[in-house]
Amino acid sequence: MRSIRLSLVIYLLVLLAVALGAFFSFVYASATDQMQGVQERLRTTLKAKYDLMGERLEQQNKMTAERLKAAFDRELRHRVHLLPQETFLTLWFKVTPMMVCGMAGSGSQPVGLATNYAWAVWAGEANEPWLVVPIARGANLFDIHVRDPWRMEQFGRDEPQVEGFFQVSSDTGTPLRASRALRKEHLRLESEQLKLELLKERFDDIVLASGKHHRMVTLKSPVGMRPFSFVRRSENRMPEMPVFFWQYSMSTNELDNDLAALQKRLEDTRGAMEAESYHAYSEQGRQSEVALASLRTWLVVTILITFLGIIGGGIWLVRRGLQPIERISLAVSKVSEKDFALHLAPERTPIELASIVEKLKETLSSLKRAFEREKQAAADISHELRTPIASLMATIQVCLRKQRAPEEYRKTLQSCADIGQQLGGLVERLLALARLDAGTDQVETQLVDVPELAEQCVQMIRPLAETQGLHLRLDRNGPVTVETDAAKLRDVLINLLHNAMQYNKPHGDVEVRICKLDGHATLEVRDTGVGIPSDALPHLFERFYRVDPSRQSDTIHAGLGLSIVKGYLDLMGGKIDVESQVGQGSTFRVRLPLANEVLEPTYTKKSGVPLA
Amino acid sequence: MKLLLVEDHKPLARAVKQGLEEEGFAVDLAADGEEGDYKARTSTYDLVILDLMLPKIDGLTLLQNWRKNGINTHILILTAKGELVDKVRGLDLGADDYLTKPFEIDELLARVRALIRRKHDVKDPVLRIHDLEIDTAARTVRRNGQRIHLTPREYALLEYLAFHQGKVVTRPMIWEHLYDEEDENTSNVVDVYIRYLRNKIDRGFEKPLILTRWGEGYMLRSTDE
Repeated sequence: MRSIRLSLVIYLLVLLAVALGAFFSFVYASATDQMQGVQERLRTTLKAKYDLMGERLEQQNKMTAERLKAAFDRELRHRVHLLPQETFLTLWFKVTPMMVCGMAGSGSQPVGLATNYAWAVWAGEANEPWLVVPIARGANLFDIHVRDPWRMEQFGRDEPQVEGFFQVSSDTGTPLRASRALRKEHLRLESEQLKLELLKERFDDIVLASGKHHRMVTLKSPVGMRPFSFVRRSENRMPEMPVFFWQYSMSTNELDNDLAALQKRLEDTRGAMEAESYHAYSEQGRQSEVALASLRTWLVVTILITFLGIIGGGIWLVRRGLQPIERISLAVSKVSEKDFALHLAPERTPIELASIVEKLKETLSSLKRAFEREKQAAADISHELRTPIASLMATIQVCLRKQRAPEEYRKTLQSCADIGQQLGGLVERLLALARLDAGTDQVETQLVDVPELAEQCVQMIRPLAETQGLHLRLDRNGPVTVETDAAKLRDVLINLLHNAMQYNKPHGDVEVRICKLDGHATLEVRDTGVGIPSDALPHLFERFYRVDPSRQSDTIHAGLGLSIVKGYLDLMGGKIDVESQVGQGSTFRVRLPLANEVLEPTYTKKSGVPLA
Repeated sequence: MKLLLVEDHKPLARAVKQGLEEEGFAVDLAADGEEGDYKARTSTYDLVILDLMLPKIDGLTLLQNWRKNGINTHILILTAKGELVDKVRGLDLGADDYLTKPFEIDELLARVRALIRRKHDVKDPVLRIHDLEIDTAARTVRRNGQRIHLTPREYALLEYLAFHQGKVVTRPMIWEHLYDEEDENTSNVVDVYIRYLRNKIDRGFEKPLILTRWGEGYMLRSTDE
């Protein structure tokens, strides 16, 4: 069972759910977005800040490191300048293959080894040129053989084939002294070279900017503070060299430690900053989570309350809104068979239902009218039947009250027969109507020549017309054939003729006319009777309808005739209309569709009985 | 007694008229409301039997008009309309009795007789005057216990005199009340019937009951005379 209220409430629920859901999603999504945006910004801000801080720290560190290194170098340089002549520095030098060859021994085999030789340099006064002394290194680390000291400037001049350069750098790679050729372009020391162990050399093949290939020999040597003696060796084929010694004086350990500490501090700080940043970030994240969670809760609660509120309100409103329908259905249920009235105040009917209510009222009132008519009809029937029956009974009873002559009995019986016939006719009509109502009436069609049928009816009626002093005429021309139920058509015509005679003036006319028109057969019965008022015309074919509500003489029609005529014509597919003028007369016009064949006017086909 | 029967169904009217006449009533017929109205206003009747479904003017309208205009004749409605509402309506509009069709003729006759009695304010159906006994129901007459047979006309005349006992009844009155419109008015038909009656009622009995009032009419001796 469908319910408007339920449907409305369900729709409301759905709509509400959708709306609230959308609202919730929207609000939550936008809140989340905002939160995320804030977090992003925070993250970027933090990142920027910490990056900045980190960079600055790094720079600071670098600067500090630089400063430390520079301080170290300065110290070194300072010490270098302060060193007595015999002090040596760490040195790196570059040796060409030729040089090596030359130095290494005889032949021109590239050996590339300077293991046997090393150059030692010692610094004099500040602006004094450095002296480069070839030294030889023995198996023992501190076994050094030194050759004659050469001046650096001489180096290269005296031995033109020796194309060699040298560079003395500090521990950190800063070039301190370099041969002229290298002054423009210092040799960069890579970390591998810087990490060399003491007095261990390393070989690299390099290309200078000039494009020349050179072999670079790198050797790390300690800087001495004061000379100490060392043993001179003479086992190898080296020339005699003065022997020098040096000792390690300035170590880079402190520098390293400092740098390491610096680096550590930097890293620690960075770590702390990262941690802080991360902490701040996650704190923010947590806060926003909390905020979002509380927003969620708030939203859910609000939505729930709204939902319930609106549902409650909605149900109440729906009930109110549907009240008119309830009122109407209440009024409808109160409609009784007695009054057929819908008790509904018209000003309280909503527009949407107004037309329904209107229609309902109309239907009810026409039902009421129909009902009244039926009731009246029922009363009329009973009345119609009772009077003839009463006559019959009265006639018989009066006759039987005393002994009478046979002639009297005969007359009485004749009267009874007449009344009986009347009753019979009435009952027939009632039966005809009942059959029409039940729809069990059959229509047996055959080809009928209408003028012939009319002729027959007129003959039947003529005696009655004559006793009433009426003039009866039939106007026909040519055959007019229809395919219909002959018996019913006959009934129709007789009925119309009876009416024409009954409602006629004394010595009046009754005219029957048959013609063809527009593919239809037209049968007209005209009388010069009392006529029918125009307001009665629409009701003329209703049952038991009589223009004059009281009975007319000894009619056997009981007002049923025309309704039977209409009923039969409806079955036969025909039409009837009436024209009338009060005081002049009436014309009843029957129309039936013409048949396709034409019947010869001597007899009806099926019955095969020719007219006399 | 003279009755007016207003009924449009001819066979019924004929049968009822015959039945009433055979009981000694004079009956005028009217076949529609107009005719009935005319006759009711222009003649005097002891009772009107009125059908309701009449052409031209219907019965209830006639009833109302008559009562409004002071026509106080007793009216018996005889109709096929037998519903309670119809009966109540008919009686409330001024009818004195209501009988529905179909009916038994005996009942109609009995009711007619009752209404006649009512008209004359007589309660006992048996009229007793001296030694004369008239059973108005059975329509029998006894004098001194002896049954006397009268023709319907004779009985009607006697009954009429008896209802007016002690009062003079003129010839026109007798004519009015005992002869319908179809009877021929011969000058001494009344006297003739009085003579017939006297022969049967008074002859051979001690006291003459039917008296002549010269110049006026006749009278039945009343009980106390």
